[in-house]
Amino acid sequence: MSSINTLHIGRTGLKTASYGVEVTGQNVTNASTEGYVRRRLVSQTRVPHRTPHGVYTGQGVTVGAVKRDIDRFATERAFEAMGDQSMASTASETLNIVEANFKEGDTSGIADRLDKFFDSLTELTSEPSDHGLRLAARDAGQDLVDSVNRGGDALLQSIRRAEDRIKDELKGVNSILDEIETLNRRISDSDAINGPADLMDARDGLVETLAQKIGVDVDYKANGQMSLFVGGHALVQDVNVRQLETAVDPVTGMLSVKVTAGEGSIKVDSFLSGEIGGLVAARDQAKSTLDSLDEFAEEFVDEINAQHSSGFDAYGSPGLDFFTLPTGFTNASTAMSLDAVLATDINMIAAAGSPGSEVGDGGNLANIIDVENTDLFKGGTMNSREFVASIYSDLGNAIVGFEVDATTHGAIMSDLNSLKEATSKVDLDEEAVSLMQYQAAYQAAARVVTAADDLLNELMRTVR
Amino acid sequence: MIRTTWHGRMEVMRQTASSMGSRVAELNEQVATGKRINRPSDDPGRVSQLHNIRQQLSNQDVYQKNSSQAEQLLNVADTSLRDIHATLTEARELAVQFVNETYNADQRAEAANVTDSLFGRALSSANVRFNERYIFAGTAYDGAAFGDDGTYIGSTDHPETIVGDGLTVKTGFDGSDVLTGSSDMFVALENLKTALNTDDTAAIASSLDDIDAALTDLEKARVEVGGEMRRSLDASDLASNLEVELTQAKASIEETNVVDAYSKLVQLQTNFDAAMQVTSMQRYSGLFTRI
Repeated sequence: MSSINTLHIGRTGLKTASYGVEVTGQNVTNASTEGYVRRRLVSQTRVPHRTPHGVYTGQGVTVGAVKRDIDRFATERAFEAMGDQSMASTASETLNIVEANFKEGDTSGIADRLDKFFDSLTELTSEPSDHGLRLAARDAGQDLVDSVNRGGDALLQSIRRAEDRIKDELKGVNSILDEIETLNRRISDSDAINGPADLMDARDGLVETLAQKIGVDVDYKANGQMSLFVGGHALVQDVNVRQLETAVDPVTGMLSVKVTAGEGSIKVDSFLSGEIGGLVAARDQAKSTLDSLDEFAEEFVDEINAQHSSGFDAYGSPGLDFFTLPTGFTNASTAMSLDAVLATDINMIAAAGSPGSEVGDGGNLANIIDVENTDLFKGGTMNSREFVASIYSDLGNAIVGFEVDATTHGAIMSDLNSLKEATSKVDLDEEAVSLMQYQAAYQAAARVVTAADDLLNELMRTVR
Repeated sequence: MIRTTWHGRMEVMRQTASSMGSRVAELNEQVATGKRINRPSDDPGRVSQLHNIRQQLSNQDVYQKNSSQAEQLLNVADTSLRDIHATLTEARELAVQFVNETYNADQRAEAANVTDSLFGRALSSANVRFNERYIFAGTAYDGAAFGDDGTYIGSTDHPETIVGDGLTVKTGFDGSDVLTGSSDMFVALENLKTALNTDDTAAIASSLDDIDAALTDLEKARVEVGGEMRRSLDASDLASNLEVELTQAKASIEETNVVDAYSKLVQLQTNFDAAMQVTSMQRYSGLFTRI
């Protein structure tokens, strides 16, 4: 062993300790950086040198790697839970806005207006020819129409808003997929000791955003590459990426999300979670509520009109329709209106049961009022009031379901994040100890260099 | 042992604060509105029940209005029938008095004038009105029930008002049935008048039988009106009682226990403040501050 070699060994110690301080500094300064994964310096013994005499001499220390401390399993699971939580909370938040149109005890709500409509007809039985009571019955009919129209319009708007947001969000998702592909390529090409770590942090940050947007299954590869899947369909595989697109279903007229596959595309709506999955779920629930409201409007209008036209108006003529649904309507709830003639002439209310046009004949009112308690819906098991209540409770149940899911997945996500961060987050106390350790190592290496220098100086003096 | 970091502890604090904040907002709304259910998602399982109660409550309000109006109308009808009964009783007393041979033709002619006025009184009572409605004109209540000669010109149908679930009361009567049905009181009075004018004691005696029959019919009519009134009162009582019961049931489902909610709110706010204090105490005081 020579003093020169000792000097060299001391130099590798200085260099490695200095690198350790640098890595610790990087950790300390990024302690609060979102998505930063703590680095750990892995030092290793340099390959020993074999002297001509067959003796192996040490060559000091070198930096083996700068490792990202990451728990792959917890990270993959945390991304999945993130998608589920984000889906449930987006769906419940979106449906909370829809629910505002179905507030409990709201005097302008469909349920209350329906009660008022039948109440006005019941009151009219006390004085079938009374101008004020007829006006009240007509106005109650109009109020009910307004309320149903408002509910239908609000649901349609919610559906449109959700679909517009899906389209907007997908643009961002595709751009993230492109960025992940670029990062995968750069990670694959990188040969820097710590270069890929920063790139991997950036990539994980993008995957986290992607998980929140669409929910993805993540598969880390040993070579640093990563694949992303939605419902088993690959979105990113190494350096290949497939984009998401929207298409309108020709049958339902609803927007669907597809993943490009060669010349064609595969529908993946049902596999999506995250915000977009939540928007799809909220849109589907709003559509289901709208379908129920349409069913109510159509069936109710038909039945009331059937009863109304079996009576006679104040002129003694057979009753016409009370409500109107235009031919070829798309949504009964938004198309429903008060009959135009009846709206301008309250004498057209067919209260009488016989054509004698006697003022006190309210014989047909009881038939119309009976519609309230006639089981017209759900295969003849629910009356109109029960059906409207079921629309309210179905929506409420859906929201509660999503809220429970959001809480459950939130708790799972929180646990998994804790597990993930237990490995990857920077702990300042640990870094302080590392800093002291590398400082001491640096000082010790410096002492080795000084000692070797002293030896060399001594040797030089002797030679002189 | 799981490795914990300062940032991890802060994240737990953040989540705790966030979840407590949501619960505080929820309780705040309950205390402010006094309601536990403000939207379907607050308790979807109870929504159908709540709607059913609201519907019934809304119905009771109308039933009470209708039965109250029906009661007033039936009271007027009953008063009118009492008046007619009194009028016919007077006519009967006249008939009993002047069937006696001791009266002469002049005296009977004078009594005929009294009978004429009784006819007018009976006609006026039979054409009694309530809120512009001729009570005994059936469903054609916008016109008089009887003409000046006592002929029925109303409708043979009667109006009915809904006062409860599947419960109706008559709010008008077919005068030809209740007043001039099996025995026509106007014909009886007219016959008495003619008999008195013609000084025909046999005819006076015969009209006495007609008046008796009319009085019997009137009593039946009063029983019918009384029955309708009782049904209306029962319906009103039922609606009123149901309203109280339903209001209580609605409150027990919908309303929040304000004292309970307020206590929880205070407790939660205390916990929230404590969590915030613990959070502020978590300021970094680690090894770096000592080297």
